[in-house]
Amino acid sequence: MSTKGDFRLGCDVGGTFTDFVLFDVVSGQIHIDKHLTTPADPSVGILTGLKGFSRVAEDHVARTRLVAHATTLVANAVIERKGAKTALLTTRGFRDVLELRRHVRVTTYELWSDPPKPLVPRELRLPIDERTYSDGSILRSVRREEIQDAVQLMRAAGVEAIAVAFLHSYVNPENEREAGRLLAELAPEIAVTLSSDVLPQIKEYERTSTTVVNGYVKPLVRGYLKNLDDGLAAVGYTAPLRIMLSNGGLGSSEIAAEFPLRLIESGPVAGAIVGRQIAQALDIPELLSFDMGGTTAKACLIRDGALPITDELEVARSKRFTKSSGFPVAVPAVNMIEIGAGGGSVATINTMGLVQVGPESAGADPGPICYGGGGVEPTVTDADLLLGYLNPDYFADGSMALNTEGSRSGITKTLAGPRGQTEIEAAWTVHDVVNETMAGAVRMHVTERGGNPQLATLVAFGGAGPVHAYNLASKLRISRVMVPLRAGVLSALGLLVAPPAYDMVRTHKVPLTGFDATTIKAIMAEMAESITNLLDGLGAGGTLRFTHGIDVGYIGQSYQVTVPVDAAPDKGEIWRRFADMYREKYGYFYDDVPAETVNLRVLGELVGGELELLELPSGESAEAVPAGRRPAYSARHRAMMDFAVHDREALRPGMHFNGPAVVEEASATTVIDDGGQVEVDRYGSLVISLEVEVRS
Amino acid sequence: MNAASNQPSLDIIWPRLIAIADEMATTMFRTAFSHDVVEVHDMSTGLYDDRGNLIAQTWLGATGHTGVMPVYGQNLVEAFPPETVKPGDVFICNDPWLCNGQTADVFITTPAFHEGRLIGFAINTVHHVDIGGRKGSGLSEEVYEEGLIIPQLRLYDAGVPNEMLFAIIRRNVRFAEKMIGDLRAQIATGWFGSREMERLAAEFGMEDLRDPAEEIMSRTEAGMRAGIAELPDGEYSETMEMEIDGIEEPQTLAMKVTIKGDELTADLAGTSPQVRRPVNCPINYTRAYVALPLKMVCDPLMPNNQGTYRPLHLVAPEGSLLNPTFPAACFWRLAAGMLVSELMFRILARIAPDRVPADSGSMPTWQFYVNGVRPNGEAFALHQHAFGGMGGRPGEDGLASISFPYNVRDVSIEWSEMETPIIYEARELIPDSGGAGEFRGGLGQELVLRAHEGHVAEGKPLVLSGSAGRMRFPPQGLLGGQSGSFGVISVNGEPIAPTSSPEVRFNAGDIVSLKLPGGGGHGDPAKRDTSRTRSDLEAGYVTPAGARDDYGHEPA
Repeated sequence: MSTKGDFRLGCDVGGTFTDFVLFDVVSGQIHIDKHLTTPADPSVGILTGLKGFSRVAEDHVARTRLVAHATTLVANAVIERKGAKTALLTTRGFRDVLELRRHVRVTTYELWSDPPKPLVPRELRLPIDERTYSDGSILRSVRREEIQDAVQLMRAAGVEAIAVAFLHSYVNPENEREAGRLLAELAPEIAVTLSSDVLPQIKEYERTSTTVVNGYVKPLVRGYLKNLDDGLAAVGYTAPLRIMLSNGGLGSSEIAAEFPLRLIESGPVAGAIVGRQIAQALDIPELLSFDMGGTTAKACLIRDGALPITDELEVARSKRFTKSSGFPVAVPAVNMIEIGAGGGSVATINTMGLVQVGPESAGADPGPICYGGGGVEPTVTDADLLLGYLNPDYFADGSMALNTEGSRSGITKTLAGPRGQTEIEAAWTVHDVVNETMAGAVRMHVTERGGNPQLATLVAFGGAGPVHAYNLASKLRISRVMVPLRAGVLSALGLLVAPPAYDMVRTHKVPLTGFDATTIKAIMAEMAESITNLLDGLGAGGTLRFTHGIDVGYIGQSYQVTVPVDAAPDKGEIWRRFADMYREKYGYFYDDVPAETVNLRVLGELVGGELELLELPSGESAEAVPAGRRPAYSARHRAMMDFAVHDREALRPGMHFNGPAVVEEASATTVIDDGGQVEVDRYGSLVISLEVEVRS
Repeated sequence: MNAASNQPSLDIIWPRLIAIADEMATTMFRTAFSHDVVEVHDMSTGLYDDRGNLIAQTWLGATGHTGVMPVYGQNLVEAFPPETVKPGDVFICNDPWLCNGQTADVFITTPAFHEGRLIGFAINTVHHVDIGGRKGSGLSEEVYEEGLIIPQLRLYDAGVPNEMLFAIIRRNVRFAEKMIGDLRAQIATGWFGSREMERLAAEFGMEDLRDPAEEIMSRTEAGMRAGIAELPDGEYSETMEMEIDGIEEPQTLAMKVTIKGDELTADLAGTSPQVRRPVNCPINYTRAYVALPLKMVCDPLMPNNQGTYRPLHLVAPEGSLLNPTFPAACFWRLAAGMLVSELMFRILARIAPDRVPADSGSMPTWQFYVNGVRPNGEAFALHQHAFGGMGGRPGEDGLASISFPYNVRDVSIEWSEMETPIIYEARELIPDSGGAGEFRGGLGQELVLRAHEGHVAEGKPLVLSGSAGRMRFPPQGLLGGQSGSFGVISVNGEPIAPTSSPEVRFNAGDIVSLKLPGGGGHGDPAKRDTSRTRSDLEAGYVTPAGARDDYGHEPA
């Protein structure tokens, strides 16, 4: 494939804005654009927005080799309950699995804090008289007449999608498959999702919920992708459409249409991919990617250049960030944390009498007070402005002047006045509290993975990330922070970096003493074959690489360690690796406790076609000359002091300077406190060393 | 606190302390062995200051564990005065009268130091998979039958494990590997919590945690007091009857609440004497379930800590069901203990009917074991939780089959069937079980169990034992709402005698059904919005007969 004059195009549809990025492979030029999202049919906004690139790169359309797309459509459809009318076939006796959830309440002390209503109402949950045992043997098979009756009922009710989730189908999917065959024959117009296809894993509630979410969004996503595909073709794009999946890989539009639940994290995951690229390019063993935008902050600990994967995703949490308040979607996704903390997060005094920041956000409309768009509640951006971190005359590339007086009076009225603080003390409290909230969530994320934040390099991006990175790092005792170029819009670039990829998980619960390499090898080969079929045609010059893993745990323990294996796993080797990994994670290991395999994992990636980081030419001098100075708040000295102001455009590889300083670029501002030392690396990234000290 | 001083502000310290407790819980989930911890969340974590005052707690966790922590802190510092506490100590206790009213709940506490000075303790509690004894029998007459009782002891002395104690525990429990594994997870959780407290003190250069502790407790206390002060002064009494198998007459639980200004006294005089069945509820657990409804109604948003309990006074006659004396059997104390919450809700309903649900079939939780033997002679034990329906609430129906006011999860049926040869024929909501009302009671659920034939030893009976209730006295409605359905346990369709601590023997081929009670209705059923009744009918939450009888609803 020729790369001469090739382009790659990315578009990321968010709640408010759609971000566009066009990369010219030969010149290395990157064009970035932003348009309002059209929520009714986002493909309309995409097609309109793309016209903008025709001005900067006239003939890019025919020469575009990749159109990569991320969308929050799926998550939003569930949150707003705009999916299809869905029915669920269950094992008789278990009609209410979906409604009973795990019987747990959302919060401990609130009497009216209810879990969300199930996506399938009870009248559309249809029990089928079938049963499989936990060893896979079938007690009762599916009978045709019963499915016929169900179809009649579903047709009469106007059902648009069907989910099928029978007990123990992860061991033996035969009954589900038979139901699927009959439904395809009797109701070919209705989209069907089988639990054994989307998630062949033990635990009926989580599997049923996952299957239902998939069914619920399937018709919507199919329609949307078809419109988008047709629209792109009509304008002349010939490159196939690729969709960002929650696991950090790109999938075909066919995968996305069949398994739309794989798109739940499609939007947020791009930032983690950027983090991985930096970790791989610079060989950083422990990297904490930190992406802070207007509404939320996302963080992801990337070890040894690999994206961490979780099966514990939840969508549409009713209490936005409270665990168990949403619908479990237990398919592999990048393990990230998302916190309701961004530039637009609103500061209030809560019932505890404490300053609380977020999760409510002023968003883009009305926005922070200083935007002058009618916002009256003080936000993080207002605090950052008063602390001297933001330049009122140079914000968002100078496109917007900030109203400092508005921020001042808002912070005084809501916080400083009632608490008897000065406005600077109050502003610092807001900045410090939002950092504490993020630090708490990051610590939890790292603890869950058995890591230590102190060992990580924090890589900050997003509009607000570089403003908060230094003080956040200092809370987490992190000694190195990196801020890449174009930090404010970096995550859209992640789309162009991701390889096509798909992964599968299958439950195989067997004690290690009964480990049968032949069986496991055969199952994994079957999984690899399915993945190959799914990735077929996504080649684009890459080669297919498989990664195999087995989840191993002590018998009875509910958490497992994913032990990497090759395609022909060996029992002794697995035990040794399990021991090593377990000991590393928890600091101890039991020789005397039996272990078992729980899940088999196979990941297929098409590698070799990724975008690479571009080096910048070095400057002539090693000395960075500040463009000016202004007062800003030093966390270290707990006071306003004189900060140097650097223009990022003027910084070249090899330069270095010390804090206190702020570095301004079009899309983001970086804050470095007194004691920080900055070097510009060969890619133009700011590499900041912190003195990690214990205040005493 | 003055934010301008060098002291860190409470805005940072308070959330950090709660975050440490949450992170302890995460550490525990990652390292524990049993479903009771990882899946069910029958555990909790928290932090004490150096005087044993509870200052932070995880947002998760079973409400018994969380409600007992404040008093346990006082017991701890009494047993181990500060001058005797050394870095590396690990304290253990499960004495039902000092801890959580049940031998299976083991408390582990670890101290934290700053510059050589004791600043506090990290506490964590776990319901263990086994503690010896009769394995949760419903027939125990004394606590001696309920397994090992560990008084306040050092499990580690200055970092050195007490091997004798470990050996005693190991030799006394079933599934010892799992039990010791969970105990090790508790120790790791404790050390994690202590280390984080020490880091916090070092980061902000605090001599101890007393200043923020005082502020946290007094703000929480003020929140509770403000909530209580809103309730009119007065005296309110309620009683309930409780059925206990093997005891002729139902036993009485009585409560008199006196509200005076911003303080509340609950007096349990009139409660029946303790019984020779495992449903006696030691006072710590009783107190937890007096406080819980009060917190839910008066101040649900404030974090739980020592301050929550300060405006609350409890008087309970010694030797009664709700304050039994040693050696009363108490393994299934939740059967009586959770009814204490029901009494409290009933009283609060009279004071503030617009803020309180009707009776809930979810009190008590039906927690049970099924013990049996496989054909190869190996013992197995199924452990499960089942829940009735919440009472109808002003403005909203009660939640169906929900862990209320407890807050734990079930064990997945697939996982349960994978691990034990007990097959679930059904777990489903029971139509018409929710009491009729303008706002309907939440539905109860039915579980149907049988042995997997050929997978259990022939001729060896299986035993289901646990907590239950409302089998004779169903959850009542409120303000004209009707009662929810009774609880029923039956074998092959034959109901057993009403009881609070069932012990049911059955054989392969038998069908055991547990029908959990529905919640009481709230308000006059005649006032129910007909669209609600129609959608209930469509969903099958009520049957056509039920709609006609309860709501006068004739099919269109």
